[in-house]
Amino acid sequence: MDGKCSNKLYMYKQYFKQAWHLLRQEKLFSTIYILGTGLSISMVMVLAIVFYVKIANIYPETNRDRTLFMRVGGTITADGSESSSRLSLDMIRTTMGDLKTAEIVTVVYAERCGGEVQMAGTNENLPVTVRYVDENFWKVFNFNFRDGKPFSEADRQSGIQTAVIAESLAVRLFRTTEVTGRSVMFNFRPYRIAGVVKDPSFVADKTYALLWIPWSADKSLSDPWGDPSYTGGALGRFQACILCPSVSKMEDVKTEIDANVQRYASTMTNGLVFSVNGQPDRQWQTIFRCCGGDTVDWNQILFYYALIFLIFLLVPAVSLSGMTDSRMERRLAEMGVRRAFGAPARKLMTQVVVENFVFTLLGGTVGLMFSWLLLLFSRNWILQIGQVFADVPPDGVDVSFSPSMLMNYTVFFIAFLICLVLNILAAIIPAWRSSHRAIIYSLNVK
Amino acid sequence: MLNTVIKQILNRKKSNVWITLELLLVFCFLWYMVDYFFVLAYNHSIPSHRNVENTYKLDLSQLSDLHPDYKPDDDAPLTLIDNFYRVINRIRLYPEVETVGLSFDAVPGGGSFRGGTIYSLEDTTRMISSAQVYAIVPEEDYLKVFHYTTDNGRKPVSVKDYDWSEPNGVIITRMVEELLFPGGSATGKIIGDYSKSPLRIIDVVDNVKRSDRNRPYPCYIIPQRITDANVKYVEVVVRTKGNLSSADFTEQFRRDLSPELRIGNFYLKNITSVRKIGEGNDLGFGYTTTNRIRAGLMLFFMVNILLCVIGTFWYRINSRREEIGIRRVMGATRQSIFNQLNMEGLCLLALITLPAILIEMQFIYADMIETPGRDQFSSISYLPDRTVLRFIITNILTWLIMAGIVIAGIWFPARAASRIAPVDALRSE
Repeated sequence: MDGKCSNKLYMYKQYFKQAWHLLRQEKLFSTIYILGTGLSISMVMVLAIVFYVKIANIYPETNRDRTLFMRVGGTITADGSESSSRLSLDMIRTTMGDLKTAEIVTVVYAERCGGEVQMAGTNENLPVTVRYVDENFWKVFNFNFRDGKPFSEADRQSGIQTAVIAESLAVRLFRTTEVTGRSVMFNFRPYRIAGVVKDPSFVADKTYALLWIPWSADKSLSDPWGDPSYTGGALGRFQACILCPSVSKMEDVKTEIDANVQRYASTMTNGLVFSVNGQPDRQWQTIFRCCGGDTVDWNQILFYYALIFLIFLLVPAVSLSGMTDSRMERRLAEMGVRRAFGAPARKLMTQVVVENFVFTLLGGTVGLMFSWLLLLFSRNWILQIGQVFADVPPDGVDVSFSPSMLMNYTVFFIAFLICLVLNILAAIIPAWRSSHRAIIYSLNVK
Repeated sequence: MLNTVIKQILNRKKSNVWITLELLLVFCFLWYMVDYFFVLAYNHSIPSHRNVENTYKLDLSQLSDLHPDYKPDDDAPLTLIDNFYRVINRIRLYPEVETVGLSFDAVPGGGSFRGGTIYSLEDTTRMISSAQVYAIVPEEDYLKVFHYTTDNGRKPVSVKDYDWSEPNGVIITRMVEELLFPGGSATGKIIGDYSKSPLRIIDVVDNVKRSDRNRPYPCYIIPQRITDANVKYVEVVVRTKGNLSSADFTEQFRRDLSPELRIGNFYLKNITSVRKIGEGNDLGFGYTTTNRIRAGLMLFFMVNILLCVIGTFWYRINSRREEIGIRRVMGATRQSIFNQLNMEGLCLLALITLPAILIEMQFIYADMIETPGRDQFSSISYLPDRTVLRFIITNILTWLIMAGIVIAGIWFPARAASRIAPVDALRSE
C-alpha cells in the first residue's frame, strides 16, 4: 500500500516536472495560455470577492451568518393602490418585540442619513453620515470600542442626547480617541460622546456611519408616518435586525416571526393587505431586495448569476481547449510510444489533465492578483453590482477593502475551486482525444 | 488563393473546431454588447438643444432654528423674499457670472421630475400623460442660462423674448407640438392641462433630452412666481463667462461670495456644476455602473478572442514551418504569406457569421434585447426601433471588430513565421 502511494506521488511529481519543462520550452504559448486562464479567473474572482464582502462576516457585521433582516413592507388597499416603505415601530414591536427563539433584536431607523458636525471654534461644517439606532445595535453588531462604551437602554428611554462616534471622526475633531464624556455638535445640537469605535468600512452596508445616535434623541423620527388608510399603521421608517442563537436555529426564528407577521397582517381593516413578501431575509437575500412591494424570485437571481459565472468560465475554456488540443497534437508521437509500451489511456488522460493543472494554477495565481488590482481600481463602484439603485458612497468617502477581505482562506478556496473547474473544462476533451487516438496514427506522426 | 485557403481549413477541420466554436460564442456575446452601446451612442448623437457647459447650480439654504445666528424676524414672509432677491442680485453682480436663472424641478439631468398631463383642445384623444413640466421664474433668464433655442438650434431664445404677464402662457418643445398638433404649427393654440386651467402656447422651442443617454422627451415650460412658501425649493442656476475651469470657478465663487451671501437666514451651502449633477444621477440610478460592467465584459470577450487567435495560429504556423519554407523558396513574399494566413482567419470568421446571426435572432425573439432610452412615445420612431436595420448595422459593426481582432491576433505569430529563412524552414524537411 505504502509503496503504491509513494509510487503515485512520484508519478505526479513527474507530471509536474514535465509540465514545468514544457512551460519553459514554449514560453510564448505558455504565456498566452496563462494569460487566458488568468483573465477568466480574475473576472470570476472579482464577482466572487464582491459577493464575499457582501455576504461574509465582516467587521463590524461579524454575525451576518446568523442575523435575519426585516427591512421593508408593502400594502395594497382595497382599490388596488400600492404603497411600500420601511416598517413602523408598532409593527416591529408587535411582531418582533418578544421573540422566544431569537437572541436579540435591534430596531434601526431607515438607512444612513446625512448631517453636519460643527467644528468647535470655526465656522466649518463637516458633512458626516449618521445612523439612528437603539442600544441593542451594539449587541447585534460587534463594534470594537477604542474608548467608552455603548449607550444604554436607560439612555435611549430617557431620550438623552448621546452618541457613539467613529475613531476617524474623533481624531478629526479632537485629535485623540479618548473623548468619552466630551460633547460633539451635530446639526447644532450637542451630543455627549458615550464611546469611540473603530471605523467600519463602507462595505458594511448595515452599519456604516461616522456617528450613531439613539433614535429617541430626535423625537420627530418616531412620529407616526404616512396616511394610515394606506400604511395601515404598519409602514414607517424603521427596520429590524434579528440575531439568532445559531445558524441552525434561524429557521425556527423565521417561523416564529412569520406566524407573528401573519397574525399582525390579519388585524388590518378596510380590506388593506399588508405583506413583508417573504422576509425576514438572510444577509445574501438583502442584497437583491430593494422595494417593499416586490416579491423576489430567488431562483431567477441565482440562475442569472450562475449564467454569468458560466460565461466567464466557458468563453475562455473553449479557447484554452483549442490551445491544449494543439499542444497535444505536437506530442502525439510521445503518446503513441507510451501507449505502444502499454500505458493505459486513462493514465495518459490523467497525466494530461494534471499537467494542464500546473498551467491553470499559475494562471489562477496571476488571475487572483489581477482581480485584487481590478477591485482596487474599481472599489468606489464595483459593489453596486447587483443593486437596483446604486448605493453611492457620500462625497469624500473612500470605499476600502481591508487585506483580510481580499486574502483569506475562503477566497483562496474559491479561487482554487474555480481553477479546478476551469482546468477540467479546458483539458478534459483534448486529453480524451489525444489519449484515445489509434496507436498507429499517433506513431505515424513522426 | 481562396481555394487553397478553404482546402487548408478543411484539412485541419479537427483543430479548427475549437477556434470556430470560440469565434461563434464570442461573436454572439460581442454583438449583444455592441447592440447595447450602438443604441446608447445613437441616443448620444441626437442633439439636445440646450447646453450645460459652464453652468452651475447654487444651493442656497436657510439656517436651522438651532443655529446661534438664526434670526426669527428674517423668516417673516416679506423679509424672506426681500432677502432672497438681495442674494440673487449679489450673485448676478459677480463678475464671472454671465446670466442667472431661477426655476423649479428644471435643472437638466437633475433627476427631479414634475409630470403633467396635457392634451389638444382640438382633438382630445391627442394627449401626453406624463410630459415633464419645467417651472421657471420669469424675472431671471433660465432659458438663456441653458441656451434654449428654436429653429433647430439656430436661434437662441431668452425669457425676455416673451410676455409673461399672462399667467397661462406656456412654451412647449417641438416634440409636444408633433404629438398634439401633428403637421401644424402650435404657436398661439390652447392646450388643456389636467391640473390647471388651459394654457396658451406662446412659442415652440427645440427638443431637449432628460439626459444624454435618453431620447428627446416632451416638455413644457410654465412661469411660476416665488412665494415665501416655495422659496426654499427654488433652484438658482448660473452660466459663467467660461474663463475659469469648473474647479477654479467653484472655489473662487465660494471664497468670494460665501460671506456676501449670508443675508438674513440665507447662506450658500453648496455649488455644483450642472454636468456633475447629471453624472451623479446617472451613478445613483445605476446607469454608469451598468455601462462600466458591460464595457468590461466587452473587453473581456475581445481579449479572449485575441488570445485564442494568437494561441491557435502560433501553433498552426509552427507546425507548418516546412510548408511556409517551401512557399518562400517558390518565391512567395512575406506579405503574401501574411495575406494567406489572414485570409484563413477571415474565412473562419465568415464561416461562423451565418450561425451567429441565427443564434442572435433567438435573442431577439426571446425579447432579450434592450433598447435604452425607449419610452412610451412610440409614435415618434428612431433608428433603434427599426429592428432589421439595427440588426444589420450592429452585425456589420461586430464583424468589423472581430475581423480587426483576428488580423491583429494573426499578425503577431505571422510576423515571426514570415521572418523564417527558407533554408531554416526546409532543414526540418
